[in-house]
Amino acid sequence: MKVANLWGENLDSLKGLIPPIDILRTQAELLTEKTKGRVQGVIKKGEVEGKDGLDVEFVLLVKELNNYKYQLFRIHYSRLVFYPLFLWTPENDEMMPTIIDSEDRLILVLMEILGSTKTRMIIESLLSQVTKK
Amino acid sequence: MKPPNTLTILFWNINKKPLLEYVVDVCKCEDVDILILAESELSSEDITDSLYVSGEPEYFDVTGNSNLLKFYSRLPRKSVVPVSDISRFSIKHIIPPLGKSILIVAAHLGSKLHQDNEEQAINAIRISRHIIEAESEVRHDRTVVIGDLNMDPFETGLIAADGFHAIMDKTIARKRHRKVDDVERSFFYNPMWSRFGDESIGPPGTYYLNKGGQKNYYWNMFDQVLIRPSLLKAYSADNLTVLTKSKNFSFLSNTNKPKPSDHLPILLTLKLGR
Repeated sequence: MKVANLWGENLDSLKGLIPPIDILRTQAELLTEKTKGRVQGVIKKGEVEGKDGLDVEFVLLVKELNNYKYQLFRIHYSRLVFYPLFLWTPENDEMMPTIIDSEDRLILVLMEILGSTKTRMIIESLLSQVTKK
Repeated sequence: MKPPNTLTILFWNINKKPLLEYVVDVCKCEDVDILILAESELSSEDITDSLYVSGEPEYFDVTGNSNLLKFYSRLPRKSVVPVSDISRFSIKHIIPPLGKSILIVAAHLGSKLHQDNEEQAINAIRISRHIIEAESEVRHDRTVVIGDLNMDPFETGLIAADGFHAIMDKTIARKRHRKVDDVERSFFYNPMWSRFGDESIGPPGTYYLNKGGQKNYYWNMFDQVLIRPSLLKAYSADNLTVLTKSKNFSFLSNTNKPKPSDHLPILLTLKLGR
C-alpha cells in the first residue's frame, strides 16, 4: 500500500525566508555606506545559554566619538522558527514588545523605525558631533 | 569642604514628581558632582539654573541620547565622555581633572510590573555584556553601576555569574573573578547587602511596597551601587548612604515610608586617588 503525502499542499512552492539578522545586517551596511562610515550600523548578536533564541541588537556606532554606541532597537527570535519575532525600541523596552508575525511585517516595522523622524534626528545629532570634532 | 580627587554621585528615581527643590537641596547639601535622575520630568534648564552658585563650577546637562536617565555634571564638559546608550542604561567614561578615570553605568531596569524574574535575569546578562565591552573599550574596569535595578541584591540577575555577578563580601570580590564553565567571570561588590533590614545603617531598603500575598518583603533594595574590585580602593562604607533627608526636606512620610518619591536617593562618594 502506498503511503499518502502527509506534507500538505504546495510544499514545493514554499520560498525560503531571509533570516531576520540578515535583514538587519543589510540595513546596517546601508547606513554605514550612506553616512560614509561616520555613523556605522552594527549588529550585535547575543545568545542565551540553554535557549534556542537569538537576541540581536541594532546599534549605531560612531568611531570618531570614542566608539560611542546607541542602541536603536533589539529583536529576539527563535533560530528554528523565525516568527513570531519580538521587537523592542527604547520607548517600549519595559512594556510588551512589538510582536511581528511575518517577514513582510518585519520589513514594514523596520521601515517605520529606520525612517522615523526620531531616528533621523539621532543620526543628525551624531553626525553634527562628528563634524564639530 | 570635600578633599580633592573625590567624586560624589547621587542617584534618585523621583517617580515623575516635581521635586526640583528637593533635588537642588540634596545636591547642595551633599556637594554632589554627578546627579543622575530616573523618571524625571524636571526641565534641564530648571535644574542647571537652580544648581548654579556664583563662583562655583556650573552644572551641565550631559544626558546625551539616553531615553530614561538624566545626567548632570559639574565636572568640565570634556570630563564626561559618552560610551553607550542602550535603552535602559547609559554608560559614561568620567575623566576627572584630578584622579583616575572611572566608568559609570547608570541604570533604570525594567519593572517587575512588566517583566518576570527570568526576563530580568536575561536582561542582566545582556547588560553585563555591554559593561564588559565598555570596559574593554576604555581599557580599565574601574566601574561603578548605580541606579534603580528593580531587583533585590539576592535575585538571580544580580547574583548570576553571567549577570551582574555582584556579591556581598569584599574579600571574595577582591579575588576579582572566578571561573564558571571554564570562563573567567568578573565580580562586582554589592555593598547594598549591608544596607538591608532595619538594623542596618539607614532605612531598611530604598523602596517600600506592601503588596500583600504570601511573599511580601515590604522593603526592597531596588536602588543599588555595584563596584568592581579595582575600584574598591576608592570606596569606603562611610561614603555610601541611602538618604532619608536633606537640609530642608525629609524623604520619608510620617510612617517612615519613602515620600514624596516612592524611592529613596543613594549617595556615593569615591576617592579616586592620583
